[in-house]
Amino acid sequence: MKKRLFLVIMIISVTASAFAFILSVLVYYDFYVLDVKNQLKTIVELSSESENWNGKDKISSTVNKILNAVDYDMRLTVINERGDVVYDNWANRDISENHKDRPEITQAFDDGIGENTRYSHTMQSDMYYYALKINDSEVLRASRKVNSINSMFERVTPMLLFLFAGLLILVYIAANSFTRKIMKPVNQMAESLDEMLEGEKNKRIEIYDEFEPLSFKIREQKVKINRYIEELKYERDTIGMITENMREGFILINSCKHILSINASGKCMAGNENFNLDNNRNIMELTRNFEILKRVDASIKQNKHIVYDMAAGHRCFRYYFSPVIEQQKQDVTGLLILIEDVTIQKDAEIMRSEFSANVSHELKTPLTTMIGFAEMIKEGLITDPESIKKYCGMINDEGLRLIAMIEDIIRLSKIEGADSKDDSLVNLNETATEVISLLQLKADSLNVKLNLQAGNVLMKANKNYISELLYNLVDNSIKYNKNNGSVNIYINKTNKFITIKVKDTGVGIAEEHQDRIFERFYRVDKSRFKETGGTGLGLSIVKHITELYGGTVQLKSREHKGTEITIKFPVYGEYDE
Amino acid sequence: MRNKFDDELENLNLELIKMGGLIETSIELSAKVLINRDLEFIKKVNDLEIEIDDMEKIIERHCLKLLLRQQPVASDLRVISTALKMITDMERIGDNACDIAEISRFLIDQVYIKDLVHIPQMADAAISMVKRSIDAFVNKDKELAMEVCSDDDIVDELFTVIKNELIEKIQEKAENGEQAIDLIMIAKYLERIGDHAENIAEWVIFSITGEHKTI
Repeated sequence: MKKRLFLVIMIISVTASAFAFILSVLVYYDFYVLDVKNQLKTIVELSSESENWNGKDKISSTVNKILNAVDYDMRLTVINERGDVVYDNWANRDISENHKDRPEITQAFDDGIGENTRYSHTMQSDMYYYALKINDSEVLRASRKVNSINSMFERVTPMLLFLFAGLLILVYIAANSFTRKIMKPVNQMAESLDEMLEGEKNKRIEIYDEFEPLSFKIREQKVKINRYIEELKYERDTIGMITENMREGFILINSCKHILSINASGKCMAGNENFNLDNNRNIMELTRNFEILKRVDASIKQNKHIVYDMAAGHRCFRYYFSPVIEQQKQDVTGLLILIEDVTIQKDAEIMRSEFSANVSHELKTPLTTMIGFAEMIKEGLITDPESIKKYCGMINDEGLRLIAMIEDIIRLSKIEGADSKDDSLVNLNETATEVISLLQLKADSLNVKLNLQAGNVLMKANKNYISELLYNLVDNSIKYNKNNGSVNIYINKTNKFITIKVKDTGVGIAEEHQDRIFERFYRVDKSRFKETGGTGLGLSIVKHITELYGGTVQLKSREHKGTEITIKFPVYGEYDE
Repeated sequence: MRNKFDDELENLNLELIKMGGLIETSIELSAKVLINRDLEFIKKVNDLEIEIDDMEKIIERHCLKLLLRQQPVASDLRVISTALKMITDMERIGDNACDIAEISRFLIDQVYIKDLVHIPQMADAAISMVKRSIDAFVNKDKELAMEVCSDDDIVDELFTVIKNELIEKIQEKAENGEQAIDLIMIAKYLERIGDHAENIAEWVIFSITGEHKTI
């Protein structure tokens, strides 16, 4: 701006002054030439009296007079009609030659007066000649050097340069101050732009009226930008919150495999909790697992979705690799990796497959026995009626066991699908007493004491299920007890929980089995069930009934010391008494 | 704008990480061969060994190329010289892992003269050292590298314990000698792996601080 202004002013002033100079020089030169001619004319006219030029002495004295009066060099020549020079004050300088053909002489002889301006080789400059006929046979010619217009310019140019230099300084100062003056409000506006835009509409700064639309536009834009920023911030926060609170791991990488975004779960699951996401960190810096890196490569290169299950320690993670493709383009611009913890699903899968294997095994065993005995009888291998009776009894027993097991399985699936329609108020004390009376005989035969300590506790539930639950617990405690052992049953109720606790002094459960004894068909000692009986579904039923009423099962057990199973049902509202 | 040299340095870094991943896998697999008596991993360990050797050559060539063409100075020079030293240790770890797998192959159909207790512990300690030394390299974590250096004592102590146990076993029964020697060699290889991991950690410290202390 400043430079430009300076340049413009400079150009204008320089051209203007140059033109003025040229014009004035031209005009002045005209005046000068005219003046030269007039002076010469005047001198010649005044001294043209013929007696002044009569005889050599007269001529000399006249010439001297004239030359004394003027302060410049002047040539005076007297030429006769033949063109011969009669007198010339510059005779020593000039070779006198015939002057007949000089235009001013010819003119003077013809008209009495003649003048001409031409370049003189002798003087090396323009000369002005003025000729006057002084008598019939002679012409007086005066001549004088006329400075050329170029020499005028030559003399003027240094002055002009001085002027330009002066102008340069002047214009520089002027341009500076002008720019400053013009820019001051603009600068002010820029400085106070923030305040101006922060909605302080009252605060007006001095600006040109011409800037008003600009400042208005800026203000408008600022409002718009602020709104966009807010929107973006909100969006970013939302996405950040979502990814950060996701239980699944989330990793986003670009096509160079630099990590763009990763959440806490992602770091955890990749086994690098302390990973900090700086610029340009490669996925290899997060995990060095080849199986994962291989699939990252494959997914990006082949542009396909890959799912991969990977075990890490005791947990199992499922990785989903999804290539990110920009719209319009076909290239993969990044990769989204989602990691899901599928340990529970995997475990459930294993449990399910174990369950079906167990079910078929458990159901097959009694059938094999039955078919074996039945075949022996059919083939007539056993003929003795006593033996037949014995074997039929065994077939019967196995059949009963099979039915008991199937009933248990049916019950279990019923409990799983049960609803609370047939719930009524159950007196836990009464139910427990009933169960004890059912099991008393068995306990006596194994020499186990049964003790019940119960308050008058009511609970909204299906009586059959509660009875089943207590039966299974107490039955187990009797079966896996020692001689002279005891089973204590506590039932009580607080504001929050109904607690059923069954504690025995039995064989206990080793730690490694404790997690699994609630699984269907799971047995601690696979060889023992023949003598104790049972289907392996008892505790599983207990667990399902407990969960049906929102309760929890807690197991405390030490091998050879005893087992304590505590069941807690939450109490919803008051309905007893 | 990132210049070519920076890109090359990052590539070098990634190559080192990749090689680190390879030796981790290799040593984990060879421990599995020994402890779980799993034959199928032996071939994998051998394949990995070849891959590790290739990787060493690649990184070496890469480092020399960078040194010659870019003439790095200061920390860049340190990074490259560290890389050159580290790959030697890494390659040795790969060799040792391969050796362990090779000896374990002979032990697979033998009954161990005693339950392996300390050797798995030692293997775990060595694996953890290797893993953490590479973690320290990846994250430029000086503290972790120092931790690895001091953990070498654990491995050394375990080696002494194992040695004494095996001496006892040989004194009990002279026939135990052959297996005892195999086991002591495995223990020695593990101890070597620990030393190499310590070396890597020391070089990591050097690349961060510029000071290399030989403890």
